[in-house]
Amino acid sequence: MMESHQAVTVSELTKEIKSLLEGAFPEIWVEGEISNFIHHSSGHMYFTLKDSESEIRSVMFRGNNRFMHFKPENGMKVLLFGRLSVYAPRGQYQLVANRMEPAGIGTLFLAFEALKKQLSAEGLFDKEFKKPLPVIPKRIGLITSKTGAAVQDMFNVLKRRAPYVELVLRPALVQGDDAADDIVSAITEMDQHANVDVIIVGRGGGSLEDLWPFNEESVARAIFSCKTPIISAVGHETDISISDMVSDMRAPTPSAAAEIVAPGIDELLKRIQTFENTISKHISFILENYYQKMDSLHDRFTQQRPDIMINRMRVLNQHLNVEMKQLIHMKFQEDKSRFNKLFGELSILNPRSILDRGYAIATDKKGCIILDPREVAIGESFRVQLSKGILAAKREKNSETNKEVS
Amino acid sequence: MVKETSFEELFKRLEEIVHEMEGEELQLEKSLTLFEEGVKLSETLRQQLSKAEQKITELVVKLKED
Repeated sequence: MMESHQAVTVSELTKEIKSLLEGAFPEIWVEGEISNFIHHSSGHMYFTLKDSESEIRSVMFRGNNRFMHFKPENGMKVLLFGRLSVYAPRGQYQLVANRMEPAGIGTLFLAFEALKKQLSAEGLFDKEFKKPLPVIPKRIGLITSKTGAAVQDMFNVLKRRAPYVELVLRPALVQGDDAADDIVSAITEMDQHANVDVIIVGRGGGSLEDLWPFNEESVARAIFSCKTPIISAVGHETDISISDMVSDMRAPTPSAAAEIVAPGIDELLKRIQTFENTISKHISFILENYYQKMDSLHDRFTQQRPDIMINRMRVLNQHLNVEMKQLIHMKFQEDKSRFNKLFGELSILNPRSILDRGYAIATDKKGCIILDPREVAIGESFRVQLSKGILAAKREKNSETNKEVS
Repeated sequence: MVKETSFEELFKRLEEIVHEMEGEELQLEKSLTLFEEGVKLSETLRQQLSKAEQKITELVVKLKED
């Protein structure tokens, strides 16, 4: 609290007011009637919300009013959700609205908020209860109107992307008073009898009242109790339902649900191809590795085998034998040629060869070679050795010179 | 826990095979067996995926009260 004798500046006071007001009303639903409505060219909406006794300046910025289902007008009763904000330069406070709904269905919003708060407190939205979706479902359960656009959208998407899945349709009322009960039955039946891998429950876009069954507590509890993983696909991108929050996965639209529920066949075939390539690569690698090992083992083994050792020695032995024989032969040849040479040399020295050339050798009775005629007395016989035989001869007269005798 | 679909089981087995084959010091017999299984599996998967045409049935659950 401020002391009275200690003045504060206007700014300080405003700052204090801002802090108090904004802190007290960070989010609030306010019901009232629109007046002085201006939809500015910037996209922002400026207006006053009033009732019989009071009014409050309000603004709804472009980012928040883009997705409204209706067009606000002066005199229209609406429900605003937002926060209180103080604009210090003008000393004004205003309501900054995030959402605006016609007051007629404002009660629905309040019911929505209440249920959301209750289920959230019970833990129905908790991540730990979210079941994982099958990666490649084979049977998919669809719970939606048989005549709506949603079911055709889903058929088409799945036919194009994942023709391998089987679809089990449980037609259900998706709007009106009986819808919630029918959706609950459908979920139970699908879960218990259809033997599907995953369920998509949903419908196409519509008004808040149209989508309302998906904000009913009974539907929320049926989704929560469903043992089969379940995808909620209600309305358009911007519609968030209680079903979306309690389901295992929220899809923005039924078509989107059909896209995410199963992988495309092309992608799967590609994955199979990759698997095949990988194992082929591995098997060739493994085989090559083994072949190398085998070769190396084979080499080592054959070096160790006794029969091969013996064989090798036998071969070696044969080889040596041949070599030895060759050596001996060579040696023999060598000796032979040397002998021949010597023999030739010897032959030249043989006195016989001289006889062949016409020389003769004279020997006395004792066989001694006669070199001087005086060794032989006149009348003494001696022998003359010729090339072809021996000639008996006798010295007849004295002659000092060598004289051939015939 | 979520039960696996037959497709998923087959894919998972294929993945396991790849994984096992990547392991070191695999016996030759074993790796050949794995390879054969892998090739068969991928062929089966490919056939199952390709031959299937979108099949739509309507769930009709007879209630006793009806």
